Amino acid sequence: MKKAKSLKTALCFLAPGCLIYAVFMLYPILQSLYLSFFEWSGYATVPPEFVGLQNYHYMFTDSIFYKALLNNLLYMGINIVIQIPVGLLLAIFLSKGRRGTRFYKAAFFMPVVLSATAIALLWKFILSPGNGLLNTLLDSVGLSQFTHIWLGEPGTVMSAIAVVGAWQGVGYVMILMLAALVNIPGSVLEQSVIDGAGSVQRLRYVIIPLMWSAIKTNLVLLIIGSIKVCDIVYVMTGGGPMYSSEVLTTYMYTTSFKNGSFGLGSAIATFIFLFAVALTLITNKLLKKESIEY
Amino acid sequence: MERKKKISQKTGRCIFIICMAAVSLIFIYPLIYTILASLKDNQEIFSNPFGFPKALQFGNYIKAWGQARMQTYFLNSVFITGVTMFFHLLLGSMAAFVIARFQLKISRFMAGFFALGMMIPIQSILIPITKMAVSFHMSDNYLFLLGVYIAGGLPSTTFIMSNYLGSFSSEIEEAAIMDGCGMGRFYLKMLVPISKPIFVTMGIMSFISTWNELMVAMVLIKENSMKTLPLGLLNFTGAYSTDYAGLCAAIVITAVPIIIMYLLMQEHVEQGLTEGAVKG
Repeated sequence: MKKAKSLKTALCFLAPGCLIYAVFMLYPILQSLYLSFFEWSGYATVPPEFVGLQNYHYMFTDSIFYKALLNNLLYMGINIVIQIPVGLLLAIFLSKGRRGTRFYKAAFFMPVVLSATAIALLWKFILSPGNGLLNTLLDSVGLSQFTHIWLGEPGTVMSAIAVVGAWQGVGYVMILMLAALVNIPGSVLEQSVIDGAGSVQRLRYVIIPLMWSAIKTNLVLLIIGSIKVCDIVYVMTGGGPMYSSEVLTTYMYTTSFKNGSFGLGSAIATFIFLFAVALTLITNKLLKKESIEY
Repeated sequence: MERKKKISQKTGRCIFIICMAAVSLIFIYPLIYTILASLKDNQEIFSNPFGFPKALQFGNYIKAWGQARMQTYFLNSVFITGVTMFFHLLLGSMAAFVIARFQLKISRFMAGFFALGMMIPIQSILIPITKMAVSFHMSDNYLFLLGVYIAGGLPSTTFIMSNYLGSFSSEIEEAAIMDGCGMGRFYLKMLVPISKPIFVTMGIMSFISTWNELMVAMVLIKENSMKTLPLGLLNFTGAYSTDYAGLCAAIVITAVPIIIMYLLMQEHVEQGLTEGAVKG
């Protein structure tokens, strides 16, 4: 009797959430997998046509797909190289509780909460070729030879976007590092000072090993985030010029919504999903392994 | 020797502080630059890129707000974000409560069911939801957009809330059910008060992600008068592409609510994002 009643309550509380989640998330992701075996132009009146694995075959032989994948990896690499060290150093700086800590923290963290669309437009403006802020700045300090059409040259465009992505995200890394840093007992650091460790040595032999699990968490987040990166690339370049900043998500978007190949688009979307799940599982497994006790 | 060490330590600290000042400039300057540019006219942005505006051009804001329809987008975003937030908290807390507090088979199953959803990138469902919207004749329909937004944030909201609710040791809620207290009353009287802190945190998370969302809105909303802020901002790269002052004003308008919210609740926002990281 009691159990039946609590089961009824449980179902009533679960039902609305489950329903909406099943309709708008689970069904679509299954539909995406299903559609990836079809060719469909996007018109409601024209039914999708079954083509088997053809979309996947096309995708895995398409050079733009590999270009996009490489760009995702480049984005990932640049973000890791910038965000992890800078985030860690900022966190160490802020953990000392000097004057102005709150201000600095807010300044570094502000871009994290702003929309990627606004950030992308702001930086697109700063990086604009003729009289954008960055080129003007370089000109005015006599470094004209370093000016570029940042978002128009195949050589610079992806790195420029990745740096902007890192600029936006580093505050997040900092906050996570800071949360981990305050958990290191002060006595451990004091002991290392007494033992005569310099600041570089302290960083190398004390802080980094103790922070290793936080560093790994950040790595996981950056890796997965880089596979899903979308808004910032879409708004800044839309994947151009000539696919040189195409990433998986923009490739998927252009293929389906611009070129009308929704079946191929679904194959790419399914790839993004499976790739993200695989990376999540693998990195989580690696992450679980070891943690250091003080 | 001792003194030498002290001096080198001092210079080291100086260098460190100078570096920090430079780094913080890199972070803040683009934002300051945007605010300053939004108060200049289009010529002055380029003739006087670094200085303060000679005369404050508030006209940029008036133009962006009215003529460029930022007001419409703003109100749309407020509505969409508000409704999404409400349902994230309501549905998330209800599901989380069952998952965390009921010793039923279905609770454990549901925990996995929602955890699965956290791994679905929203970009992977753009095509199916567009297809659904077209076949249900629900393109340019807020109900459909809200459905996607609510579903999108629900897994992580439920997950984090169930972690929180699971940390209580009290058994009052079971007692309350057995006492025959109605479910609606029980929800308001028991669940809401104990969940207040996590409601604030998750509400903020929901606010940030919905307010900033672009891609879903882009594929579902074509009608200009129904666009949300991020979507409306993109208009400035098209029709208004030479109006940099207007663009900067629009960026500031988009950013202000988030910045105010952040400054008011700095701790909660940071805490929320730290907890959100665990979801991986």
